Amino acid sequence: MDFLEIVINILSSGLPCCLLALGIFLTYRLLDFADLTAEGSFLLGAATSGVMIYNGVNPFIATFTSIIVGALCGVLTGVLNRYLKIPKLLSGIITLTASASIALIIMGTAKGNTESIFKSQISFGNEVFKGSPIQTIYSLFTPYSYNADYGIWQVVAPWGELIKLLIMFIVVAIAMVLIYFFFGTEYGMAIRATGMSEKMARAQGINTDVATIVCVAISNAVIALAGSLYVQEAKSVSTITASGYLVIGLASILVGEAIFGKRTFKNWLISVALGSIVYFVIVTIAVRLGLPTELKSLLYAILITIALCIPLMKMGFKKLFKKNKNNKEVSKC
Amino acid sequence: MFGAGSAKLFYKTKEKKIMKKMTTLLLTLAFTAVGLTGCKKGKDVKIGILQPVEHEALGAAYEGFKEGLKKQGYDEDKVEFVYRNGGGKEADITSFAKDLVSTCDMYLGIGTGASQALKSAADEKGKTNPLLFTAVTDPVEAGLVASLENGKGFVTGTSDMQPLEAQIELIEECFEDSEKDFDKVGIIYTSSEVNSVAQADAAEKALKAKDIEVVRKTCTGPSDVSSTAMALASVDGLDAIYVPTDNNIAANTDAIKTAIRGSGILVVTGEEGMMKGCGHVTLSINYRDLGIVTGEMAADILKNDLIPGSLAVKTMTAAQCDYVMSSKNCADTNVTLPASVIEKCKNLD
Repeated sequence: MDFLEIVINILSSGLPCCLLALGIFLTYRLLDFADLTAEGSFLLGAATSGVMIYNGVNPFIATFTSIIVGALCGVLTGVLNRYLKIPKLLSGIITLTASASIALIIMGTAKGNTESIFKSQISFGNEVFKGSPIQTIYSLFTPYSYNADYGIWQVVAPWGELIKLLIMFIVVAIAMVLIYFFFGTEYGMAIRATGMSEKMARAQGINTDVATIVCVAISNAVIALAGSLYVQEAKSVSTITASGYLVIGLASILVGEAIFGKRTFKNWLISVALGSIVYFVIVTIAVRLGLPTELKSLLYAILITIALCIPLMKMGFKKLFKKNKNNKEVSKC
Repeated sequence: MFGAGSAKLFYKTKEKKIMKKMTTLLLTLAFTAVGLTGCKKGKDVKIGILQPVEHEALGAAYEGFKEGLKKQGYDEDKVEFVYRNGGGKEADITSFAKDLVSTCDMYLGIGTGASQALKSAADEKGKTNPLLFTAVTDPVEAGLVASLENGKGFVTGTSDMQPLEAQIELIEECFEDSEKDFDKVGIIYTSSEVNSVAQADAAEKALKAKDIEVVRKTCTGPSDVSSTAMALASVDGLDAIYVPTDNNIAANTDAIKTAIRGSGILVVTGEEGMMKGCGHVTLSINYRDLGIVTGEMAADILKNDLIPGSLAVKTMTAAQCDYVMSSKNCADTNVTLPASVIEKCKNLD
C-alpha cells in the first residue's frame, strides 16, 4: 500500500512535468532554440486556468484557453527573434519578464477583485466539491462524499487519486501522439529540417521564419498545458508558481536521453517524458531514505552528471588509455 | 550534447545493458525505501513539517512549534518530526507535500505556499488528519479556512497579521511629548502586493479616525522604490512614514533610508526585518512565539482529540509582540525617540 502511494505521488507530480519537458524538448532539441519563455508560459498557463476555474468557467474551456495563451507567448518570442532580429536567448527573456506582470493582470480578472486590476495569488482549494460551480477537469470525474464530522465534502479515498492520474495520463498521451504525428507530416519535417540546418531548409523553399514561430508556439502551448494541469491539481496559483520548473524540464531531457536513449523520434519522445519522472523518483526516494532536503539539489546535480557521463566515461577511458600509450611512444622517440 | 559520434555508437550496443542496470538500481532503492519507512519507531505521533524555503523567520516558527509541543508534554520521545524543506522550488514543495500527507499523522505548513500545498494534497487523497499552518498572513484569502472563526474542516493555525492598530498608536506615542505638530503621515507600499494594499487601507482608516492627514504613495517594482520614497519625503510638513509589510520594499529598504536622511521623519515599519533596514521603531511579531502558539494548538488537538475546525485561527495580540528599535538608524537619520518609547524597546543594533 505504501509502495502504491509512493508511485501515485511520483506520477502525479511527474506527469505535468512530462508535458513541460516535451515542450522544452521541441524547441531545445528539434529547433536548436534555447527558449527561456518556458517558465513564463507555464506561469501564464497556470494563471489563466486558475482564474477561469475560480470564476466558474468549464475546466475544459479553461484548459483550452491556457493552451492558446501559451501559444501566443511562443508567437511573441518567435516574432521577437525572427522579425525584430533579437537574439534567441534574449527574446525568450523578454517574454519571460513580461509574463510576470501579465500573470498579475490575468489573475486580476478574478471575480470579487474590485479594488485593483492586479492580484498576486488565487486559491480555490475550499470551493471544489460535488455540486459546486467551481470544478477542475479532475474533480468532474471524482466521486465525493460528505463528511459530517468535519462539515466538508471529501474525495472518496483511493479513487480520487487514481482518476486524477488516469486523466493526466490521457492528456499526456494525447499530446504525445499529436506531437508525434505532427512532426511526421510534411510541415513537421520542414520544422525539423529548419532546426538541423536553416540555410539548407531555406534552400529547399521552406519559410524558416514561419517554421520557427510555429514550433516555438507549439512548444509553449504544450508547456502552458502543463501549467494548466498543475494548477488544477494544486488548486492555487501565485506569481512564484513556475519557479524551478525550467531546470527540471531541461534536466529531464538530458537524463531521459542518457537513460532511455534517442534512437528514433518515437523513442526520443518517450525518453524525454520518462526523464521528467526520474527526477521525482530520485528526489522522493532519497528524501525517504533520510537525506536532508537541503541536500537534494546537490544529489540531483551529482546524479545528472553521473547519468550523462556513463557512456562518455567508458569511451573516454579507452581513448585516454590509447592516447597515453601513443604519447609514451612519441616521447620515447 | 554528447558531441562525439562514437558516443552515439556506444548507445546502440550498450544501451539495453545500461537501461537494465538503471532499472535494477532504481527498483532496489525503491524497495529499500519502502522497507525502511515500513518499520515504525513506536512513537505516538508523526508530524510532517513543510517549510518552503530557508528563511530566518520561518525557521524560528518551526523551532517555536517544537517548543510549544514540548511545553505540553509532547517532546521528541513521543513525537517524530519529519522535516522537509522545499528550497524555494515549487515542484519540490508539492512533491514533498504529497509525500508527507501519505506518511504522517499530522502536518504543519509554514508559510502560505507550503500550507496550500499540504491542504490540496490532503484534499486530493481524501484525508482528514489535522493540518496546522503558521506564518500565513491571510488564511481565508489563501483558501485554507473558510473564515477566521473556522468551525469546520481539518485545518487551523496561526496568522502572522501584524498588530497594525498598535503600530499606529506607537507612531502617535513617539510624538506625544514633542513640540512638533503631529498631523501628517505618509504611507508607502507596492501596488501589486495584495497584503500591503490591505494593510495600507487599514492604516489609512485608523489614522483618519484620529484626524491625521494621510499621504499615500505607491511603487510598482524594485526600480521605483527610490523615486517614490523621495517624492514622499519631500511632502511638506510630513511627520512620519508608515511602511506596511511589503516584500518589494523589504528588499529595497536602503532607498527609503536614503530618501529620509537628514529630514528627521520618523519611519515605522510593519515588521522587524524591514525596521532593521530603514525604520526607527516598531512593534513586531516574534515568529518563535507564533510557532509556540501553533505548537500548543497542535498539542491541544492531540490531547483532547479535537477536530481542528473547532479551533479558531489565532493571531498575535499587541501584548504578545515585541517593541524593537534601531539606534543606528535613528542616529543616521537624526531622529530622537522619546525616552518612554526607548525604555520599552529592545535595541537590535
